[in-house]
Amino acid sequence: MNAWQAFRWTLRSVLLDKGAALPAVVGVVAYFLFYPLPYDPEAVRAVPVVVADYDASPMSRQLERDLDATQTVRVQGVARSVEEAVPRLQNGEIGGIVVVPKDFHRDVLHGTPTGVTVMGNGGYIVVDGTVLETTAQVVAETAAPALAAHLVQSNVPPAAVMRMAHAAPALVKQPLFNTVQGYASYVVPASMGLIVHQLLIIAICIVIGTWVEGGRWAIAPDGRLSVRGFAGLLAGFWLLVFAALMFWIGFVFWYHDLPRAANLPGAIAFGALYALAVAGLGIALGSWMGTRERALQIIGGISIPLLFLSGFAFPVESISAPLVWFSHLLPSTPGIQGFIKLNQMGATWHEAWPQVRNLLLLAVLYTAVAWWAASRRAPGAPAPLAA
Amino acid sequence: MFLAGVRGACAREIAYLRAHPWDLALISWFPALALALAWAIFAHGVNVKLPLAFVDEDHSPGSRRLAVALEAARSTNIAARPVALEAAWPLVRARQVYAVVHVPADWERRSQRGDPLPVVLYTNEQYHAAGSSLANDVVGAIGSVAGGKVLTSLAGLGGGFAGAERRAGAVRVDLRTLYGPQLSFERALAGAFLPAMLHLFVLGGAAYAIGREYRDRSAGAWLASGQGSIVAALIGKLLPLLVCFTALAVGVMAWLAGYRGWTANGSVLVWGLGLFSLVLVCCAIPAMLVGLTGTLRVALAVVAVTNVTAVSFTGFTYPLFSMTTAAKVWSAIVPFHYFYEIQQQQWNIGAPLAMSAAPFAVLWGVYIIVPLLIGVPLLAKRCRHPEGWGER
Repeated sequence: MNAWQAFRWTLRSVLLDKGAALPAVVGVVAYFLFYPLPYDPEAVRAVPVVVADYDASPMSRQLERDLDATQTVRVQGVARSVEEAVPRLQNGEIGGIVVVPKDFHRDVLHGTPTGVTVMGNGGYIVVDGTVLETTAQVVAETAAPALAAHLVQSNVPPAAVMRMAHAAPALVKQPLFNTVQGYASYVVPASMGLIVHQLLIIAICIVIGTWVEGGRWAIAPDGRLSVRGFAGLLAGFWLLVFAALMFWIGFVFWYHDLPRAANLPGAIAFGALYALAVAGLGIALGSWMGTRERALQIIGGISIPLLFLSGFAFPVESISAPLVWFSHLLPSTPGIQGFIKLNQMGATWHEAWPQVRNLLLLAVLYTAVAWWAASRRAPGAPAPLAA
Repeated sequence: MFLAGVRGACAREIAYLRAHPWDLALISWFPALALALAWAIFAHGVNVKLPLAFVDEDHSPGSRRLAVALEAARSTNIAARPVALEAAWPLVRARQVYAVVHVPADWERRSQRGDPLPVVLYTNEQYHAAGSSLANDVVGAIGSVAGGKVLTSLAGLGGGFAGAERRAGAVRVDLRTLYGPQLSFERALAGAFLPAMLHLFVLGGAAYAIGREYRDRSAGAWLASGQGSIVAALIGKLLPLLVCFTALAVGVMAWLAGYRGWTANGSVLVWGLGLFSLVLVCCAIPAMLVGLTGTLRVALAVVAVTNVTAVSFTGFTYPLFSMTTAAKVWSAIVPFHYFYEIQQQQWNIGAPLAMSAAPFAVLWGVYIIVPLLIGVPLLAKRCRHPEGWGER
């Protein structure tokens, strides 16, 4: 069988087999709606808190209104004591408790040191950080006019108070690339490489597993897999992986309005290289497993470590060196990092070179392993996982 | 009779596993290795010395103090000192740094004049986890350097430094993180993702164990090994898998809450029962799916695709409060969500036991009893109809 015939046979085997077409086509399309679902609102908003108001003063009520007016926090109710609010925090009904002490208003007006206590739930890190940060800002803003009035009463020149009030902050935070600091913009583009990787590896393993189970491969009719036959096989799978990547880069990022196309030609070229490494790895794994359904059993459980080893959700500097070395053997690691650089950060080819080089080596390695494994299985040899 | 059926099916399954070492591996050492790998990723617990670029256009004693404070902070490391912002951007794009701290020219002089310029912190929000870790320490470092200047300016309003300190502390905000104050990634991330991985392996293992009987046309022999009782055959088949995964679940808990010292604030027993219930859920659901479809592949695909993102719908990575209605509905459907509630209540929060009754009731009622009531009769029916076997 020549390369063109093997290429067509491979595509046909995926598209006409509902077991393989489901992950390779339906899964890739369905995941673009399903995966971003939890992160769709982008920014954290409306985290409910309860205010334990021991003061019941105009200022404490102003604080409640100011908190409720923020995008991130919503005042779910006012409790008379912390003890009343704690069970609601424990059962997850609210994300935090704001405690306004007795005589808060009076102490602020008198300039007597006082304080508001904010309690967040450390079991939910994002909720905790949101409640603490927002409340700290709101308390400072709510108390500021009263503090300024106290300064003026203490014979501080009003001009000096005004100058301090309008002084620039000590620090300004400026987000780069994902300028809305959105969670979908952060998680979805990075996960794209892994989603395509996992779904297409499943599809490839299903097809190769079916061939191994069936004995001799159709693309190796005389029992010997030719280089041309292998090239057609690799090109067929490569095309499917590449098409899935282009669907995400070209359509999904636009549909969800995610950061995109910062270096589109670079991302497309990188996608071609990534698709080759994934196709090679898929053929190698499929030949080794040799069972139609086996990849489905394994792939879910290993997705989580693959995602974290890529270094986007957890800094690579915080991962121990042997694991980082190991992660360079996985196409998903340079793939995810490279796609973020090229799609979202607008890196030049030179700036993405460490990932390009890593992926080049993996593409060569996995193509060679795929050739070796497929050549051994094509004549009808049993696979170890089916044994 | 029934016990003999369980014994027979169990012996048959053990014999199969002994003859098929990879099937055994995928319910024993392979998941254990994957869990150990995942734990090792988070083992450092905190982010230490993440690289940033420090662009100092002020070259003042104050900016040098800020650089020293940044070097001294736990999570920040000045990896580069570009002379201008333009020289810093390639470092960000090449991901050699996660952030850029820019001290503008005249920063100290303007600050002393009472007309301060801000320091600007640029964070790479495509790497939000690293960026936010860094930002906290940069804020602290600037606070420590700029705090003195604020006191000086407040002292200028009268009352000297004593008055300035009183004014600066007039309204404090006391920030308290309850139920996990260490904010360790090992406790938080390994605590969430290890059970999630475990449940994915159980789902896959159970679906494979049950489904392969129909795929391999051996369902009749399987039922016979259970003395004709599908319940006995199912229990006997799943016993080796249950023993393996329960041992792994206990191992995960013992490792985190015992050896690693992340003590449970509530009841370890109830937390353990929650994890065991999750393991049972992950056996009952595949039993139902194989019963409904008769196809190993479809059952595996459904459990893998619908549960692999389970953690995202618990509210751990992004608040459940902020999610859309569709996401909240899906969150209510995913069984892992209910286990995670139990774990939060009993490991982190130390909630009263009665509070965990509701998620337990959902796990057992909706995700164990109902799937078994649906699945078991269907499995039995399929065992009696060989014409439906062999579906791929």
